[in-house]
Amino acid sequence: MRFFGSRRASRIRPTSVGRDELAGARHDDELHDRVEGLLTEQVGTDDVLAPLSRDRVTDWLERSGFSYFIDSDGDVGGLWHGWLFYFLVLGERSEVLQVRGQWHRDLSIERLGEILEVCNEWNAERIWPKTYVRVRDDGSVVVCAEVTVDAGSMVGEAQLDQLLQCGLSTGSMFFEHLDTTFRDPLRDAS
Amino acid sequence: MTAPDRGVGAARRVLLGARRAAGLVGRAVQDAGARVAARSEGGPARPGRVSAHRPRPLSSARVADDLSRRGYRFRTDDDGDVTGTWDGNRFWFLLLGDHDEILQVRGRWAGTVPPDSRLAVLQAVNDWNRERVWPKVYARREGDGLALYAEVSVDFEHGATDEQLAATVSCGLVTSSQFFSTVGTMAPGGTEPDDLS
Repeated sequence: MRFFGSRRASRIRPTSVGRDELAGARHDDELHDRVEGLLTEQVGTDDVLAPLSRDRVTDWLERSGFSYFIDSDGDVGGLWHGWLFYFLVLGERSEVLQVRGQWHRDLSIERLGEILEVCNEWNAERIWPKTYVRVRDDGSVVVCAEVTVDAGSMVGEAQLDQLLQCGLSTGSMFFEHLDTTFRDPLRDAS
Repeated sequence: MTAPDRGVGAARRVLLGARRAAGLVGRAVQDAGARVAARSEGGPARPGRVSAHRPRPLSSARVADDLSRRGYRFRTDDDGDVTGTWDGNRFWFLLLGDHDEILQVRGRWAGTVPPDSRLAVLQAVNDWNRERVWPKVYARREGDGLALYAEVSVDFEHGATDEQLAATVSCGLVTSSQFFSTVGTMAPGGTEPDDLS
C-alpha cells in the first residue's frame, strides 16, 4: 500500500549532487519509509496478518467452495479431483501449515524400485511437492505428496491462500504425472 | 475413504523433535551472533524498521542481512547467489521464480556415494522424506557418484516478513544439517568432503 504515490518519479535530481544534499535526500526517503510504515500499521496492509489456525483453513475451504471433513483427530481433509488431501496446522505455536495429498491408487511392491526413481526424479527436478512412498504391511505401496511451510507467528490472508493453492496445485501435478507414468490397467481395459 | 497410514500423529511427533532441535541450534546461533555483535560493534543497534513486521518482497540483500545478523560467514558467487558452508556442507540461498518470489535454501552433502548403492540410497532418501517434515531430500548422479541434496523452499509471492524469512533460513540450515549428519554416519562408502572454500 502506497501513501505517497510513486516516489521514484519525484526523485529526479541534478547529476551533480553535494554530499549534504544526498544525505538529505536519503534522510527524506527514510522518513517517508518510516511514516509510510507507521501509517500502514495503523490503517492495515493489503494483506492483513493474523495467527494461523484451523478455522482460517476451513474458512478458506468454504470460501473456495470446497467440501471438507474433520476427522476424529480433529484434522481437516477433503477430496480434490479425486485425491485425498489433508490440511494440517502443526507446531507448538500452530505456525506450521502442511498440505498433504495421497494418490488414489496403490501399486504393488514389485514396482517399488520404479516408483522410488519417479519420486526421486520429481524431488530433484521440481521445487514442490516433496514426494515419497509408504509401504503398507500387506505390501501395497501408497504414494504421498507434501508441501509444508513454517509461516511464523503471523500470516497474511493472501499468503495463506497462496500456500494452500501451492500445496493443492503442485500435489495435483505430481499425481497427474503418476497417472500417466503408471497407467491404470482397469481403466485402460474398460 | 482411508486416512493416510501412520499419518498425522507421527508427523506431529517428528515435527516436535525437529523443532526442539531447531530451538537449541537457534539459541546457540543467537548466542554466537550476540558475541560477534559485542566484539565488532559496540555502538547501539540500528533503530528497528517498522516495515520488518509486514510482508516485503524478497531480495538477496535481505537474505544476506539475516545471515549477517546471526554472525555467519557467506559470500555471493558468480551467479549472484548467496552461498556458504555449514558443518562442511555447501549451502545456497536461491531466489527462484519469474519474480524472485521463491526462497530456496539448498544444501549439498560434502561427500558422495558410489553409484552401485543407488537403490539403498533411494530407500534412505525416501525414508527421510516420509518421516521428516523438512527438508525435501534427493540423490543426483554427478560424475562417478551420487550427490545428495536437501532443499527447503517457500513461495513468498505476497512478500515475507523478516520473521518469515528468518524462519525459512533457520529451517533450511538446521533440518538439512540434520539430514547430512545422519547420512555421514550411515554411508561408510562416502568419500571425504571435497573443496570447502
